[in-house]
Amino acid sequence: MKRELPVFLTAITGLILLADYYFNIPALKPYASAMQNWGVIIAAFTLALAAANLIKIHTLRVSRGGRIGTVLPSLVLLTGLFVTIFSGIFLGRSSPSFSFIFNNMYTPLAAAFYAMTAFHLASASYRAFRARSAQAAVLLITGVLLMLGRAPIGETIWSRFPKIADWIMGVGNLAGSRGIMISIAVGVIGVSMRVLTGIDRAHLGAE
Amino acid sequence: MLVAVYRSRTSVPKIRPLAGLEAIEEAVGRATEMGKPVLFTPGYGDVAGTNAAPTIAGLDMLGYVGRLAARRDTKMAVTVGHPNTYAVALDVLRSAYMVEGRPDALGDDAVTFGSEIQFAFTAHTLGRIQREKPATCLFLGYFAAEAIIVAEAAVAAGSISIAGATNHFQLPFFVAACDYTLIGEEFLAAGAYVSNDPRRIGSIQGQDWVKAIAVALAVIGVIMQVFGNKSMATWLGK
Amino acid sequence: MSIVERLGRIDNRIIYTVLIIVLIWPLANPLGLPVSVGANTRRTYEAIDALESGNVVLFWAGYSASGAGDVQPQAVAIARHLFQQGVKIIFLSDVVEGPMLVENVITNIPEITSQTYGVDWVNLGYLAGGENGISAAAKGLKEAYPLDFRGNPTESLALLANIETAGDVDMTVFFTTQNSDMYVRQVYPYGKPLIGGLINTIVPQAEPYVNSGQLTGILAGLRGGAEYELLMKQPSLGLAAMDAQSIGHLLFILLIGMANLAYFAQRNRLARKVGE
Repeated sequence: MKRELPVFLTAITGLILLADYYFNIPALKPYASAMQNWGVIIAAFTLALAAANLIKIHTLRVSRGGRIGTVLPSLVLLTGLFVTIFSGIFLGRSSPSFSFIFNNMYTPLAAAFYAMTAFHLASASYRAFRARSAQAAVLLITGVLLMLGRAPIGETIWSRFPKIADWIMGVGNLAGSRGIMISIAVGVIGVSMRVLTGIDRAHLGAE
Repeated sequence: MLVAVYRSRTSVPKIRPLAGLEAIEEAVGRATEMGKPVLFTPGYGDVAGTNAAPTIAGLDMLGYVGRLAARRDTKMAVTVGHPNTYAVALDVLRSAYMVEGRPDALGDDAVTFGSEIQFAFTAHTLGRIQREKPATCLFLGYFAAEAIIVAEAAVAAGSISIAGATNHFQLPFFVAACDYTLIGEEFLAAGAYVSNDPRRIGSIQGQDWVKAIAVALAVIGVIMQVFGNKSMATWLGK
Repeated sequence: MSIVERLGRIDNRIIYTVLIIVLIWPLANPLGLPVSVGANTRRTYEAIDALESGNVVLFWAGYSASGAGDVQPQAVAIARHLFQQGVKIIFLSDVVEGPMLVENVITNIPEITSQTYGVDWVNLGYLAGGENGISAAAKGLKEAYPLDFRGNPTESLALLANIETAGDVDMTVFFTTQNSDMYVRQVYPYGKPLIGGLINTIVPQAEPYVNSGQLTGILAGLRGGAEYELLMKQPSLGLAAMDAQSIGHLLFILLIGMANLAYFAQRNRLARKVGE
């Protein structure tokens, strides 16, 4: 029953939501809406669960002690977590302190991490984009043409670069993208069907 | 798909070998020989919602890799980016070690939850890669912009890396940076492939039939469109 | 090993240092390279320009703080355009930091001082659940958001008086760093124009939807924001960063060129050795 009940609930919920999406059945709409709203509430609670999980793990790490290199990051995390929660809940989300934390600490840190992709992309391109074969050479040339087509300097060098880039994206890339998207979509339908019918039970934990 | 699953009860179809999958066993062996851990991450997706399919496929693979690691007494380091996925991953890994008769070999910190926020999870995974210097990194799950960051971190740590993702706009980054990549549907089929469950393998065959039908419809639609008949496009567009 | 072969073995730290210098320098010393406007941006601009005063738009801030550098210039440009058209905006979000990013967008718009909260614009805040949340909001806005981000009951807001579903607005504009599929699946069926502001990496995924007409238009990354600012004749952060993007791309091409020169030099040297 421990595994059968979740499978049954998954199947019923999935069928009701699918039917509501594809067919206009007025009798199903209240149930589908209710289930979606429950999903929203559960998702909101998982945020609280995530915070509780982090507090538990890092408090244990601090209480166990050990090297400063292990304890300090956990202390920083817990301090940041509680200060942000306190200022958001008790001082308000529009308060200067919460805005300061978000605009001057969180956003620059998050943006800095995303900016790392540029550096890693540079080293990955430098290492991987070598014309070892004919296909690699085609990939290399296409990549260079695309970069020249998308950056303003490319258009300054030769006005046709943007048109070439548009053709590569709009014809070559689009054809390949569509093929991969269709196969991925079919694969996702397959996984979903297996989950809904209980063939796949990985999300319920181990057997 | 249901027909294919039904037929698999009597006749299990064959799936072609996937280079990335076969490399996983060698990669775990490499970690055993070097005495270093295997880092596995199913990404920062949830087991429910839009990102569920690749996350569930990743957890399938975690069970397989867990059994390999338990058999060879190789340390596992798993990072996850969602509390739901953390609970399931812990359960899957414990069970894998139990099946191999090594429940005591799984460390307390084998599975760690970083954060639900994308780049906080990335920082957590990067930290584990840089501190523990795994011999093998397996990125099998849901990844977005952090794909290139974690893949390059694996290269910098000297690891062999195998990736599998369905985000097809992140696949080029994995292909460029990783040693092997399971592309899109290959990754989703990988779990079924290693499970040896006839019904799951049967559903893969069903997927192939659906793809064949989609291609046939596309070809018919193109021919009709060339001759000025837009009814197929109109019907599919509804 | 020859000098040419050494070009293929440059330390990553040197590459990163040069990249930093190359990106910062044009920001401090703008080159003023001309920027042309692409078809996607033009289509998006024309769709928004066709809106009339009093129309209502759903503005979905689904981008994270990490991608704000790429997407926020687009969001600010489009929000300004909408307010200048006299269009009313319902801001909402499906990511945790969305509501705060919306507040950042608002503070960057001079036109906001003449707008009345609750009448001309509202910020409904964050709804958990990802695509499920988008679906729930599109299906029943006030049901999904009983309170707005400022704690006001949504039933009391004049702007939302006649808005029940995504079909009751005149257009939906979304900004995302994740994927555009969710919005196409959940919002497009309501039959109103759908426009996407996307981070650069997910643009190829969205282009089939533009082709099929499910997306009326898209803005592609920082360049899309810059092009939109150009059309608005209101240069801002997007245009300011274009020179840096250009020089950065040139550096990438140079690195790839050097790596390939080194590769071929090494290959030739090894081939000569084998021949001997």
